[in-house]
Amino acid sequence: MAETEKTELASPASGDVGSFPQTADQKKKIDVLLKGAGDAPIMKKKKWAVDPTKKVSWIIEFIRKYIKCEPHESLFLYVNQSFAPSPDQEMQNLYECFGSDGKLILHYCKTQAWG
Amino acid sequence: MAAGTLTWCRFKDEASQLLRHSERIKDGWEWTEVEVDQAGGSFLVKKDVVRPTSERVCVKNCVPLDDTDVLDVEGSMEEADINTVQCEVKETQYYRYQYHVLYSTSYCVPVLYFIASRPDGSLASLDEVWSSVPASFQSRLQDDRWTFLTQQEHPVLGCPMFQLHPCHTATMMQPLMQETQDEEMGSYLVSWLSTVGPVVGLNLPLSYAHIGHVT
Repeated sequence: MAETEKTELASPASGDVGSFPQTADQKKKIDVLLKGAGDAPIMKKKKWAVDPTKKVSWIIEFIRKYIKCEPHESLFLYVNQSFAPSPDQEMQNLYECFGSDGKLILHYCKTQAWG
Repeated sequence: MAAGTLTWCRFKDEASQLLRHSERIKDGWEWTEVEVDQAGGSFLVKKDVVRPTSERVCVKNCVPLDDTDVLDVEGSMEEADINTVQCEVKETQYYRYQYHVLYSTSYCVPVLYFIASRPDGSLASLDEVWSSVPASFQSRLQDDRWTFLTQQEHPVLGCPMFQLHPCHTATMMQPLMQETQDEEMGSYLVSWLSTVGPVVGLNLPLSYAHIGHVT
């Protein structure tokens, strides 16, 4: 189904030059589209190629740094615009369940406090 | 109806949706009716969730078994033995969690109550609960230590339990509800529970994400 070549956009860490052909497929990065919801600041760059083994907690940390989230603010990530996957979920899994058109759309939301 | 809140009726509807799904995937949610017909008098319960707390690695001296040395053990107890091997022993403690999802009539939002007990049945202390918060939330927790977790009386059962404080729930849910209102509504309850649950070890399987969405 996904035979269309994905153009790899500059990823946070794109440095695997000499990968072997047989592992190249495994290592194929996932196109993730990050969209802000509510009053969360938008990201200048929305589309990222992410390693499939990266976890939700890693993406959250990445966005926090990118939008300069204050330590007293919480950031949550949602699939389907409504479900927050647990922090140890891997991108591969999310992509298989919620990806469409060769990409995975994640919404992020910022809030002041817990509860 | 203020933004980000939910009515008792919708709470009940969504709870039954959640229960139907739970029944299908057998993950143990139950409905407990105590004060029937009263708003907030019934609630969702999930029992017996066992989770390890942070693993403590402690170093113990392991003396190799050597029958020739056994007799003079008491004499050389204090001295460091070159035959002693330092080995790391992983001590994992398990806690049994019980989660209750109630409806707060004063805040008009769902509230998560839980209790954690040690293997011998005694209740875990607040410190123990804090230390079992997953690593990804720990830095955030340092900041909010006292505001997000409080020990409170269970509004229906009257026993002391830990509570995730509901005073910010509506603010937290507001942007989510805005996002979903153009299309068919997802489940408020599932959105909320998936957001706050992981902090106290309650992870909803991904299949819950499809509740309320027409597939």
